[in-house]
Amino acid sequence: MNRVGSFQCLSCNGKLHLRTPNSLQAAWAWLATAAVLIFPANLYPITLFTVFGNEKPDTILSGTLTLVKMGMFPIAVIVFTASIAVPIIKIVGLTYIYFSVQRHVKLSDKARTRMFHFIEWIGRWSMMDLFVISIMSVLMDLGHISSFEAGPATAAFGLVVFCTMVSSKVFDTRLLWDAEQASEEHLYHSGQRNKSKL
Amino acid sequence: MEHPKPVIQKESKLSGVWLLPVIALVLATWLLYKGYRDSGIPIKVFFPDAHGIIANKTKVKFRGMEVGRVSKLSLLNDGSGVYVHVEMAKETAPYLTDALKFWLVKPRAGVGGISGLETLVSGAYIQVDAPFQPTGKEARLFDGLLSPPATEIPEVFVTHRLVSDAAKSISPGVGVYYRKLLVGEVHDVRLDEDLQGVEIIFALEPQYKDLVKEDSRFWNVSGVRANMGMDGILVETDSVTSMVLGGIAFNSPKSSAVANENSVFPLYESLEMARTAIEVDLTIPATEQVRVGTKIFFHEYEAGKITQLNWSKNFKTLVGKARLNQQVEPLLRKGTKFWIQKAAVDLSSIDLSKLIQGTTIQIKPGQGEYTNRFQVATMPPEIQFEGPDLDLFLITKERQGLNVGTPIVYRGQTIGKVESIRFETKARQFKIHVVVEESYQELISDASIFYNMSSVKLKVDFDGIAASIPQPKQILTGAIGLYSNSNGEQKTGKPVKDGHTYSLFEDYDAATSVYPETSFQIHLNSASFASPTVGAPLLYHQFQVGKVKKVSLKKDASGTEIQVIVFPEYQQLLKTSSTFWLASGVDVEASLKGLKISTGSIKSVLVGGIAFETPSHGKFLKKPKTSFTLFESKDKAMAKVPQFQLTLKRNSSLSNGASVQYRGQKIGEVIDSTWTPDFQSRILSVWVEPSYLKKVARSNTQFILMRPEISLRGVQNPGALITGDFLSVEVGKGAEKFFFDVIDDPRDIRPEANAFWITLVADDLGSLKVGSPLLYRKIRIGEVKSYYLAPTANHVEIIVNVELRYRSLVKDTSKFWNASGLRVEASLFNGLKIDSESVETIVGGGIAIATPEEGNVVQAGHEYSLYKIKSDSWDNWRPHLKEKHALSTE
Repeated sequence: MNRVGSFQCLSCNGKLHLRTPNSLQAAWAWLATAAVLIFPANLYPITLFTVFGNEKPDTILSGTLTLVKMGMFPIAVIVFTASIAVPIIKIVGLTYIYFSVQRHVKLSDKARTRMFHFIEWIGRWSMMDLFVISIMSVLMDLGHISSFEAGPATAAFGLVVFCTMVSSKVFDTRLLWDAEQASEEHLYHSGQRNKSKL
Repeated sequence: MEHPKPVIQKESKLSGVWLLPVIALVLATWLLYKGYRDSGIPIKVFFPDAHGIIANKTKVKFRGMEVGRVSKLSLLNDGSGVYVHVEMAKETAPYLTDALKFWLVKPRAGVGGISGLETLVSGAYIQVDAPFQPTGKEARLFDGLLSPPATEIPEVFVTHRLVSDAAKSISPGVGVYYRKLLVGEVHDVRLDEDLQGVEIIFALEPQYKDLVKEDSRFWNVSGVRANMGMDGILVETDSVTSMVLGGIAFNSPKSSAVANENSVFPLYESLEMARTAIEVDLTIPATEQVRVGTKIFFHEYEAGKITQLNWSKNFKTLVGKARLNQQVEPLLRKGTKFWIQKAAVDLSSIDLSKLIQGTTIQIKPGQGEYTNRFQVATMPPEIQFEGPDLDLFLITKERQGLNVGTPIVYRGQTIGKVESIRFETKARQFKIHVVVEESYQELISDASIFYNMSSVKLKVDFDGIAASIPQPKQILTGAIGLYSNSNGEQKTGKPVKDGHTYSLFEDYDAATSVYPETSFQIHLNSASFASPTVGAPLLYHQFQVGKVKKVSLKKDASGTEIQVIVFPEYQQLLKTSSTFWLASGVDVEASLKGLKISTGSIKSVLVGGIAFETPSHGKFLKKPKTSFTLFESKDKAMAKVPQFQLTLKRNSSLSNGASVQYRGQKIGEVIDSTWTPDFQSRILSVWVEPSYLKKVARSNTQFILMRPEISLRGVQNPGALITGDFLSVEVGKGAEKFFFDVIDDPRDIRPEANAFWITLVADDLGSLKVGSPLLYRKIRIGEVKSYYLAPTANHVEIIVNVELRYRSLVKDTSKFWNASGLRVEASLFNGLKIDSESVETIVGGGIAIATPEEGNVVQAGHEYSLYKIKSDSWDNWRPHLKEKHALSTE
């Protein structure tokens, strides 16, 4: 048994690791990509709605506001949650978890794990916005009368969702236990990292 | 035991995944930079009124392409206008100079059309116009216009100039029309250099540039021009667009050369002015009724009109100006005469325009140098015999609807016309100058007779009108006829020269008196005193072939004697056998085809007439004045003496007048019917047209009562439904016979003598009726003619008539079966079998026949038994007829 990993799987000869190597680093990288892309995703128009030749570009936020103005409050809440709140919560939440893992911040094992899985679960729901756009662009296409097109932010937004999902995927959840262990030891051997626990 | 050497792995090497955020960062940065780079050039456009401009929405377009977008609106400090902040596309940078023009495009609906319609839905936008090449100083602040600026004319357009004394609702943008087609546009209207007139510059669209010729004439089609005068009101407008917005129209002669670019043309006030471009000065005697607007004619052609009238200095004459059409320019020579033609109030003339136009001025061309000053005379110039045409004079005391231009007619052909009419005060008569066309000169001799054909002369007499109505056109214009007798002959005489004078006869009759007619006359004796008037027509099938000449009482006062003239060309219509009667003019005939009312000519309805018919027999009349009897009516003339006495036992609607038909054609009618003393039957007196009498009056002839019969098989004798029952004749042979019994039951009809018939013996009649078909392979080859109970009453005998051409199909071996109704057989193995000969036989009954190959032809009357059901083996009989028995195609 190797501390760092390198067991052979008896059936498939695949490498087995105690902890996936560089998992935290990769998770960070994917998360950073998402954090960068969230800017164009929100600043560029995500939809181009044209009625009678009158083009109206909408960013995610302005689209939500339009919905509020039109009085469609429940839909606005859903769109806001799926398109703005969730990606941001995801990025912030993951940052916090990764950070806490790296810095051995004290946090209940259970709470951290639950939080991580919640974020992982909620992440896919952000794709709903793109799904709506793709349906709308088909339904609203009435030639010269009206058209509904996906804006340049769509790609960025999709990548944000994708990157956060990948980020949470590559993150080796076992590190969460290590963090807990470490934080307990940390009380006694402050400043020292211990990664050699099974 | 040696421990294995620990493998030391570097713990935290940088993961390759970090490339991802780097790439994302680079991309985001680039996007940000691009966003900044493309953010556009901010400019400000000043608009006094920014109505319809919305920030972030209103676009700036150049030739329909979006080149910028309004980003913000801000009010000027003093509130005098609005700054519209526009973000122009980066590429427009070199063009942002002070040569740019911005204006607001809004939907504009005017009478001239609707523009900017797209902005109704898309909202207003700002249009920018830039020169092809960037010119001028760079600018970021512009003045916006509220309406489109005048456009520069692109070089491909050809421009011309028009000069006019006033702009008269011509403004830039107004259309230039060629034959009502928009071919150009007025580009600019400005005062000319000396400020005395207006110069209009217009551009033609490139494809129409050749339309303007050197001799083109332009006129203003703006607005509505109303001209009121004795002539009535003349309202002139062009298209509604040009009426409201103004417009310029032009016309170009075909032959003229294409005008050079930038040519100058005068702009006339109206089409009329453009057309009448020649101005002449006229001196007019003050006594005459000449006004501004008095028309000038060259013959019948309107050549122009007087446009100005002023007193001369000594107040003795009027000095006027007239505008004349271009076409009469060659006439304006020194020798040309102008004279005043006064309006002739003449009821005979229905030419309203002549009456309305009043006094006119006429031109008579002369020789000499060109001039434009003329003296107008009060009288036409003396007649000079010019040209190759023949000039003649006619003298008459009554003018009677004759006018200048009245045609001279010879047998319907116009051969000349009246040139002028003068009243000779001394002789108190009219002298009519007529011109006969050169090609008809040979018709005129010194023996020629002219008469007035005008219908205006109202003789209150039906006949009179009829005699003097020549042709519809001549009713309107009047005419002078050159007399010829009804054979078209003319008296021969010597040819005449110009200036020969004739006297004009009052009418045709007057001319006839000079030139007696050798007409063909007949005499009619009438027992009645209701005779036609003199002049009433003699009609042959409503066509007039003569007329009543004289009506006189017979010497013994027992009636009237009528002399009738038959026009020579119709003489052969009369024979010794002709029958004459007084024509009532209205004839009513009712039949299944509808009601037909035929009337004779209106004249014959009004004045009556004499009609006649001529049978084919008889001899032609050799000498005139043959006497005939005139019957009171056609019926009496055609009086029918019944030849037959028929006894009718059955009740029937058969009445007097019922027709007697032979195969659908009427050959006679029932004249009278009376009851026998015992009231059991009626005796009909029947008349048959003499030509058929010999054939009909035979002992074997049958008269059959035809009555309408509606049954499932259809309607029989539908004609009888409307006209009532009638009699049908089956012509037979035998000795002469005139007394018959009417056959009222179709069963009693004997087969025709030469018909082929057979007798079928059956147990019962079934659903067979008279007329039920005899079918061979479902083709009808005959029908049931009659049936009756056998004398022993144990069977029924059915007489079937077989069409002669199918006779050879009936042999002594033939089998007959009753094909009536529908036979349904159901069996376990064969299923359902429905058999019927035809739809007709299902309800109407019928008989079918099958014939084997062998067998002999039978004689008429052969007896067969009629089977109820056919045997299946009969189906396979397919006799092949030998040639000599083959079906005739008749």
